[in-house]
Amino acid sequence: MSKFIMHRLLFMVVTLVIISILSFIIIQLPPGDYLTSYITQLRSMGTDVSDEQIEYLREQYGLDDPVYVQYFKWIGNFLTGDMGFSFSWNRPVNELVWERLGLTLVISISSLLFTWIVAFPIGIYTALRQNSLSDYFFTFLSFIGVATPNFLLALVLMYVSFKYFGINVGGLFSPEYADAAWGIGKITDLLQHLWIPVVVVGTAGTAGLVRIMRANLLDELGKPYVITAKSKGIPNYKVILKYPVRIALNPFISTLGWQLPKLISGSTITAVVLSLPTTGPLLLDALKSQDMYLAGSFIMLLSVLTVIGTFISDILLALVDPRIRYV
Amino acid sequence: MANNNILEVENLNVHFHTDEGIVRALNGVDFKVERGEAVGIVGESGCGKSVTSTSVMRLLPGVGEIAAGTIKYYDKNKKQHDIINLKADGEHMRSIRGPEMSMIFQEPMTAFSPVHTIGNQIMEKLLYHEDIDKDEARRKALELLKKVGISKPEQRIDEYPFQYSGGMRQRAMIAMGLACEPQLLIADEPTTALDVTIQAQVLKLIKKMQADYNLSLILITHDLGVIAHMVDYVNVMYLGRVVESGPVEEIFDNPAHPYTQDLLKSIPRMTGNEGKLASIEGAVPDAYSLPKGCPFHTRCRKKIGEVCERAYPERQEISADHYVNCYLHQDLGDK
Amino acid sequence: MAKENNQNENYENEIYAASQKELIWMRFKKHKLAMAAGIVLIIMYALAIFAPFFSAQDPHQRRVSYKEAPPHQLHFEDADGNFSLRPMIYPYSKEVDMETFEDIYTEDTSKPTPIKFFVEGFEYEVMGLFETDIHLFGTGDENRPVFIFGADSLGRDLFARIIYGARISLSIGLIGVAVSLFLGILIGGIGGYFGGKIDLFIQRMIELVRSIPQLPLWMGLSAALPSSWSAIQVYLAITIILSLMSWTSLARVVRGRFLSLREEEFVIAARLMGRNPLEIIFIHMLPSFLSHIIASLTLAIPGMILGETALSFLGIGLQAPVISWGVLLQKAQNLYTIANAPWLMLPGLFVIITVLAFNFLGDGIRDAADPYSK
Ligand SMILES: Nc1ncnc2c1ncn2[C@@H]1O[C@H](COP(=O)(O)OP(=O)(O)OP(=O)(O)O)[C@@H](O)[C@H]1O
Ligand code: SF4
Ligand SMILES: [Mg+2]
Repeated sequence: MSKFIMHRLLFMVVTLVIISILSFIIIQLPPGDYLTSYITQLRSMGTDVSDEQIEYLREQYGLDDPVYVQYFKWIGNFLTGDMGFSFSWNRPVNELVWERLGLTLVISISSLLFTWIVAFPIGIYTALRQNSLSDYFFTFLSFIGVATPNFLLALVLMYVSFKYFGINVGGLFSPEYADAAWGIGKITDLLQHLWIPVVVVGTAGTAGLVRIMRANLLDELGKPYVITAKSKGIPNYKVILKYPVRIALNPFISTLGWQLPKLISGSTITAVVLSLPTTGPLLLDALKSQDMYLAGSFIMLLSVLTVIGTFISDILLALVDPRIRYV
Repeated sequence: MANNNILEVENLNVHFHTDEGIVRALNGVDFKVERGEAVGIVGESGCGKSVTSTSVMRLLPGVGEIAAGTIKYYDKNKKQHDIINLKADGEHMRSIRGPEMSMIFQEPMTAFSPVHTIGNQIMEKLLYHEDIDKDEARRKALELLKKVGISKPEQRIDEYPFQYSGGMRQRAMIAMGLACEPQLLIADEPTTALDVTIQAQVLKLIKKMQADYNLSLILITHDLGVIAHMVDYVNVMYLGRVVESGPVEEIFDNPAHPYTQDLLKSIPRMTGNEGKLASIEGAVPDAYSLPKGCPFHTRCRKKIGEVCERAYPERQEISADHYVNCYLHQDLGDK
Repeated sequence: MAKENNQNENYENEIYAASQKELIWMRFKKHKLAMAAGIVLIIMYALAIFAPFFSAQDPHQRRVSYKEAPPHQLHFEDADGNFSLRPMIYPYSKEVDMETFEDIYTEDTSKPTPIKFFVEGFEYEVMGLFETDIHLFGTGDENRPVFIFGADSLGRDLFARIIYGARISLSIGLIGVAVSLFLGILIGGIGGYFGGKIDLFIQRMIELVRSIPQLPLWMGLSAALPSSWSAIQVYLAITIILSLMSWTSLARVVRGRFLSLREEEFVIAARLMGRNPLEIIFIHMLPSFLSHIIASLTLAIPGMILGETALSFLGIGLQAPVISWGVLLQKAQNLYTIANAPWLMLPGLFVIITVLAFNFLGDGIRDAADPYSK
């Protein structure tokens, strides 16, 4: 087991190094350096930038150093929690990201719960009632769910609720609470708005999970050990819950870790459509305005989450599946 | 009427409803098992041996349907149970499945859940049927494992199936079968998946357990060689029917059905013409469209003629307790 | 003698291959849903290839008097209730609501305009071969255009734009998949063919790529494309970005197959005869599981289409004046627009239908190719 963990840990570090290089490349990709474009931008807006200021900034970001030195400076800062400076927001990237990461996590975790709560029962039900009318109905529904881009679902929901219920479902807060301090009122307000993004972000995942769960379970249901368990005189439902369902769940436990980061990045587009104050729109703006420190650090952060998630998944999987634990 | 039978199967018909059509897997299977007796069921692959045993246990998959027949089981108190009319997953059937009859499967690897310990899987059965606590169940499971010859059971009980060798897994499977002290043990090709050397050990173990627990045994195999030392009575199956049945010496010394004769020829023998392992010619007809008349007529070397294709031959008793369905042994006189 | 033998073998192989193909085709035909999906896709691609023929209007032509005009309704009865098989439309007359300043379009029943088929319209080239101005349908009257899917905010024909957009959206899936196919077979094939350390390395590499978060990376890379690039360059770059991540699942399929195949006799024979590895991979091993590859490919296309749509929708993929479904959907981004002109969401319907069709088709092919895998 400890050897297994060491292995995964090593792999995690390698992955992170490679991802950091990729993120840095993305930062570097736009022609010219970002400082130059920032200064041009400032000047075009009429702000005066003195030569000393420019010199100071160049120094701070090591723009005159060779590329690899710049990389090490950047990653070094990143590791100490300094993710650079957003030129378009004129604020440190950390502040911007942490502020929104909380809400992003709320949405993502709620979506994950939503996904599981809806997908598992339906997956199990359709597998047990294979080829019944309800099976076809849910299967068809889940196919549509998989095929519908999140943002389109968001658009349709927005349209329907506006057209027929006269409510604007964008945002996470009603105007009166948007800038209010946290309190019971604000939390209730948040919960009232939360379900739309949760449904939107969760639907594709739910549909996918239903299909995987159904297929896995169908696979397991036909296995000899199920008959063995039934031959012991145990009631069917107990047998099914203890054996095939348990085994069919393994892949989910193993993907738990990267479901979350996937939801975080998946919610990006939804957040843009529904104008949610989460990290998604921030990343998009950063990319569009070539605020590359913000964008690069953000991608790096998401990747770190993903990789840590994968690592946790691996360990979870080893915990639930003895076949992995003992090799 | 003093009846010493534990199981009576009559005219059992089982159909599978598949996408391609109806598979008539069993077409009137008759056999019985006396209390304490070991009965063999032999036949080529696909003749319906497993379907027969899973029907008796009422473990047929959803697509399988018992179309006709009766299955009578007599429990520890000689009370009769009409197996076919019970709900497959009902409480009544489940009180029989386990404490009264249990089953050993062909593939010991896949017949255990890979993610639960052997101990857990044995104790589950004990805990469900007997009014005992976990410690007691564990103690009983340990005893069973010791009984079937697993060394260091205290350690082995907490291990997973993949940590066992093939032979050990089958031993554990036998231990699980014996839990709750059933009356009737059905072993469906218990040694097919094992090495030859281990096969003998496992068979010996089953034989010993049969004596120790005073079990009735149904041993299913496609290998007549295995049967010889293990059972008292043999049923030979072909395409979903028992075509010949009799005491084991009778079957080996006086096989009456051409199919049985061919089967016997295909047993590899230690003496005599080695290397000339005869196998039965021709392919088994598929179960979607069974041949009319005697199902064996498409391959039979002794086929009499057109009469064999007309109707299924009647059951004839040719000597004490020795029955056969073949026109060679039926008086064709006026027909 | 030896040669004869060889020929015989070839002949037998051919029979084997043919019956194998027939078997797959037979099983596939049983999948009604997959067959239907295949037909839907053929129609989609036909619409895309012959987009000008199927469009009544030039997709780039703006008509100020038709801004956000709703879809025309087809009538089979004229104002007096006379039935005619030939559908007709009533041109719109536009008013402005003085309170909301919204355009209100009403049908002008005094001017019934029949729809004509194989009618003359704008000129176009057919596959670069010849010029023509025949269109499947239209009014034949330049001043009374027909908008069966309505018009966008600049008064352009949405139906024409959707089927022109299909050219990009549908082809990006194919090209992207071709690129991933190449990468997948090459990398997966090398791993599966050589096994051992090389395989281990490649497995790790696949695992690594899979653990990179997809969407942010796509976004980062496509946002970093220089704005000076031409539409074609951006198109190609986006395609490559999309395939950079999706070759891994194909590589895994190929690798697994190769691992089991490399022990087979015919591969060993080819190796003993001194053929070079690439030749063995592409000539001897690949054909034996082509159907699986086709199935995996079919299932990979939807991801690409959805990827392009998402990126363009966000405004960091393809940009107008290029027409793609994602670009079209960009117009439907805010509540105000979709509340007034819900038909602007129609390109999304095409996305869903296409993705569904590819999924059904892929499932069908996979089941037909290998009925025993799930
Ligand atoms: N789930 C099922 N669906 C459809 N047909 C089935 C099913 N199970 C068994 N059959 C059919 O029933 C017939 C008998 O099968 P069975 O498994 O009893 O054979 P067997 O005698 O046990 O053979 P083997 O020696 O291979 O175990 C076969 O023709 C088989 O195709
Ligand atoms: S009935 Fe006829 S065909 Fe059947 S076994 Fe006897 S002789 Fe052979
Ligand atoms: Mg069997």
